[in-house]
Amino acid sequence: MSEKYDAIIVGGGHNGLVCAAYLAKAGRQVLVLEKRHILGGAACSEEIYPGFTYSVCSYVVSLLRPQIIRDLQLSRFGLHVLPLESTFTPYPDGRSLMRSANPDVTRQEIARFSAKDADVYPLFGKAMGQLARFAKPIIDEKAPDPMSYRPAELMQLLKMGKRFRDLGDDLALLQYKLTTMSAVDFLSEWFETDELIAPMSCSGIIGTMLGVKSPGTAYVLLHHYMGEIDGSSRSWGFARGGTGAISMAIARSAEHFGAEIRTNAGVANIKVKNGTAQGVVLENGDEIDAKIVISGAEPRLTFLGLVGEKELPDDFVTQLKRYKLRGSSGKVNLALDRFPDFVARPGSGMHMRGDISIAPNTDYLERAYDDAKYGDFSQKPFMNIVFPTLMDRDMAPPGKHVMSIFVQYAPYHIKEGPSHWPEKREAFGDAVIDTLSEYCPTLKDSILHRQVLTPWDLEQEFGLTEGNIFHGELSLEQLLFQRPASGWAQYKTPIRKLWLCSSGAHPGGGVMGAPGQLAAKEILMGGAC
Amino acid sequence: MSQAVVIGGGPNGLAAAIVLSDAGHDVTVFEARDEMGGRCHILGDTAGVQPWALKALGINLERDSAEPLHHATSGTLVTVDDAVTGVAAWRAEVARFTGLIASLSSAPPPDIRQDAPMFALLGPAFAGLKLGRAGALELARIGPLCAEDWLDEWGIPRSAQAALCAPALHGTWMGPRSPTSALAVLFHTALSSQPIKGGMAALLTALTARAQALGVTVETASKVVDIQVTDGAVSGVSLADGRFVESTVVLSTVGPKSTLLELVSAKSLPLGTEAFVTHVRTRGVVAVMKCQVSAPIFGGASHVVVTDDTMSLERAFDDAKHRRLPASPALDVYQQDGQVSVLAFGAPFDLEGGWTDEAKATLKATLFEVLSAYIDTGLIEESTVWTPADLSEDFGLDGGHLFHGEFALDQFLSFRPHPSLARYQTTIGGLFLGGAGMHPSGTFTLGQGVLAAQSV
Repeated sequence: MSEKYDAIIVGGGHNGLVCAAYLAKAGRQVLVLEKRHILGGAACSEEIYPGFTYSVCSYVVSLLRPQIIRDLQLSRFGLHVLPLESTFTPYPDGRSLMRSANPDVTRQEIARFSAKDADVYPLFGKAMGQLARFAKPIIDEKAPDPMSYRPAELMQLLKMGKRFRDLGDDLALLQYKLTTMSAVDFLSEWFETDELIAPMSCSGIIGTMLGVKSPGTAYVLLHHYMGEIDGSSRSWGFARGGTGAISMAIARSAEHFGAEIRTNAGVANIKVKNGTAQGVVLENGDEIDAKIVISGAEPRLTFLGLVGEKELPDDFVTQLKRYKLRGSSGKVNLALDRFPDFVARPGSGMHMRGDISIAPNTDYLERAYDDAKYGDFSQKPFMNIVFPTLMDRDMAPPGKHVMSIFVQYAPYHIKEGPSHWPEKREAFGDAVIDTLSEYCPTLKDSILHRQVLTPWDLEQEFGLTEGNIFHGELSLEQLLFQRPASGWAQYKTPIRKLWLCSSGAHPGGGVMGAPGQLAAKEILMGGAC
Repeated sequence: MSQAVVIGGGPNGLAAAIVLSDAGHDVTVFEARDEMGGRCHILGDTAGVQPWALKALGINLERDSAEPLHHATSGTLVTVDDAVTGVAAWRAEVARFTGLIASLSSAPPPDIRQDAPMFALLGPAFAGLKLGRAGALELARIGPLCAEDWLDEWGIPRSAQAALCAPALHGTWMGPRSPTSALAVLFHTALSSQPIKGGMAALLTALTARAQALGVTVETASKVVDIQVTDGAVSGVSLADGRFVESTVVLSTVGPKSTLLELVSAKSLPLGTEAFVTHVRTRGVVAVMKCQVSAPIFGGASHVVVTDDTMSLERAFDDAKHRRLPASPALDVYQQDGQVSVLAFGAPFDLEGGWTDEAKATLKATLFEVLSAYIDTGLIEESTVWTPADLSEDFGLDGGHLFHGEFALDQFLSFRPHPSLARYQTTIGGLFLGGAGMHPSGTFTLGQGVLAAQSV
C-alpha cells in the first residue's frame, strides 16, 4: 500500500491537533483520526441540553502557549480568550474572599482577614513571578535527559543548571521547596490565614490523587504566575464558545495548512512490524499507512492498548504498568433557569466572573482527600466553579445560565471497583449539589438539566484512562525526563516511527498545547517525516 | 586546654562530648533532666546506630544477630523476614542504594550554597555515578513515591508493608500514602543493620563510661537557659540556677529551633535567621509509653510492630494530621530485659483542645486496649506515658518530634535544617548544632553528635 500520509495522528484532542497543525504548516501530509463525533477530546464544547453549551470536561484555558496562538494564527481562526477576572471563595459562615486582578481590591479583601497577609500577598506574587521566569523555559523546551552524554543534552542541562544557580541562594531554595513541599506547608511559610491558604493551595491538587498537605503539591502554584508573565496573550482565561472553541480554532488552522481531519474514526490498533510502526487499523477495519504514527492518546492506552505488550521491551512495559493514572476528579455541568445567588455575596457581579472555589479551610480539603484515599467520593468535595454565561452570553438562552463545576475528589478506584461508578453517579451528583446548596440555597430550584461525569465516564467517553484528566499524575516522579517513562521522555518511543504528543509526555496536562508543539518540533528536527 | 560546653546529655550530646574531649577540649555537658541519656530513655531502635560513629567514639559494642521484625496483625504475631513475598527482592533493591546512602550519611552534607566550592559536590556526584545510569534514574523515581506504591511494586503484602514502614515514619510527618515516604523508608532501611546487644541501655552505659574515662564533666539537672553572644561569637552559657559558664565553643544538641529561637536572643541572630528557623517543621506524631513487664511479652520478641496494614497505618497518620486523639495508633514495641518502649504513631503534638489529663488518660487506655489483643496487659507493672506535648516539656524535643525535625525532601541532607546551618557551624562564631535535627537523618544514627564535634 502506498503511503499517502507523512503522519497519522491518533486522537483529535488539542495536543494532537496542535501537533498536526505544526506538521502541516511545515508541509507534511497529515491525517488526524478522532474517535468521537466531535474534535477536541477533553477540550470540547457540546450542546448536551437544547440551547445550552457546556464545556463538557476542561473548562478554562490553562497556560495555552502564546507561541502556539501566534504560530497557528488561532485568533484568525476564531479563538477569543476572555480573562478570568477573579477567584472567589465563600465560607459557610457567610464571609467571603475575592482575589482579583486589581491589587488594591485584593489587598482590601485579604486585609479583612489579616493585615499581615495583605502585606505579604504582593511580595509572594513577586517571588513567584521570579520563579515562574525561571521555570517557564522548562515547559517550552523538551525535557533534558540527565543521563545522556550527547553534547546537546549536556548543554541544555548545563544551561538549566546555570539558570538555577543564577537565581541565588534564597530563590534557589525557594524553588526547591516549591518543588518538594506540600502546598499548605509552602503557603504557611508566607501566610497566617487558613481561609486564604485553603483556596490558594487547591491549585496544587487539581487532577491529582493527593491532598493539599501531601508533599509535592506546591509546585503547581507556579502555573498561575506563569500565566501572568505570558502577558497580554492571556494564557489563563475562558474561551468564547467554551473550551471546544480552542480545539476548533486549532483544527481550522491545521486544515488551513493542509491537514486532513476525520471524526468518527476510532483507531483500533497501531500496526507494528519488526518494531516499526507502519500505520493504523481503524475500528471499521480500514487500514491506513503512513511514514510515522503519532499518538495523542494517553501513554498506557497507546502502548498497552493500541500497540500491544508483545511488541514492547519488558522494562518499558514495567514502567507503563507502574505509571500512575488514578483519576481523582469529576465534573458536573448544570443548565440553570436563573442565576443562583451565593449567600456570602449575592448577585452576578465581578466576583462571579472568575472562578469560584469551594475550599473554606485546609482541614476541609484534607477531609475531602481522606474520603478518596479510602475509596469513596468526597461527601463534602472541593469544587472549582465557573459561570461561562457571565462572560459569553451565547452559551445559553437569554436570562439562563450554564454552571461548570469541577469536583474533587471522585477517585476512579472506588472501593466497589471502578465499574460500579454508574450506580453511584447520581449520588455523587447529589453530594455536589447538596454541598453547594449550603452556599447557594436557591441553586436546587433553578436546575433545568444536570450532567454528571464520573472518572469512569471520562475514561469510557474520552479515553482518559482511569479518568485522569492529565494523562497521568503530575507527581514528581512522573515529570520531566520521567514522563511517561525514563529514557523515553522526548516524544520518541521504543517503537520506531511511533511518537507520543499527548499530555502523557513532557510538560504534561492542561490546555497548554505544549506536548503537541514540542513533539512536532522533535519530529521535524530529526527529519522523521 | 580550651573549654567547650555541650548542651544536652542525650546520645548526641555524649557523643559530641567524647569527640571534643578526645580532640583535647575540656568539656562540660549540661543536661536539664535529672539523668543523662535523653532520647535513649524513649527510643528503642538501635539498629541504625552507625558503626563508623561508634568507631569514632572508641566504643565497641556487640550486635545482636539481626532478629527478624515481628508484626502483630489481626490478633496474631507473624515474622516479617525474607520468606514473606517480595521482601527478599525488595531488600536486595535497597542494598543497591545502601552504599550511596551510607556514604552520604557518614560525612557532613555537601555545601550547596552558591559561594561554596563546586568540588564539594564531587564526592556525592561520584558516589551517585557508581550507581550507574539505571540506578540513578531509579533513585530519582523512588524518592518522590509513596511508600505503599513502592512496596506494592515488589508485591509485598500490605500487612508486612506496614511493619517495614512504621519505624521509618516516626521521623516524618507522613503516612505510607504520602509522596516521598518511600524515601524515608529507603533511608531508614538502608541505614539500619543489626541492633546493639543490650539495646539502648547498653549504648547509654557505653557512652557514659567512655565520656567518664575521658574526663568529661557531666552535670545533670542543669538547664541551659541562655547562650551568651558577644560580637557575633559565643562567650558562654547561663544556667537555670543562675550560674554563668564561660566558653568560646558551645555545641548544642537540643533542636535547632530551641537553640536558635529560645537560647540565643533574637538580637544576636543574623538577619533572616529567625524567619527560616521558625519554618523548620517539627510536628511530632508519636507518643511514648515506657513500662516494665513481669514476664516477656510477644514471646520475648525484641521488636514488634502492631498495626493491621498500610491502610490502618495511614488512618493512624490521619488522626495526627487532624489533631485528633488516635483511635487506633500503630505501635512500635521494643523489648529488652523486662523494659518495654512503646512508640505510638498517630498522636498529634497540637491535639485539638490540648493534652489535658483526661486526653492523656484516654490515650493510655487506647494503648492498653490495642496491646490487649496480643498480650496479657496484666504483665505490665509500671508504665509512664509521654504525649508529644510531654516529650517537648520533659525531653525538650521541638514540637514533641522524636528527631527534632521532620524528615522531608526539603529537610534532609544539605537542607537539614537549612542550607546555611546544615554543616553544624551556625552563623554565630563558636556555636554548633549537633542534635537529631541535623544531618544524617532517617533513623537514630548517633552521627549528628560525632560529625558536629568533628566540625568544631
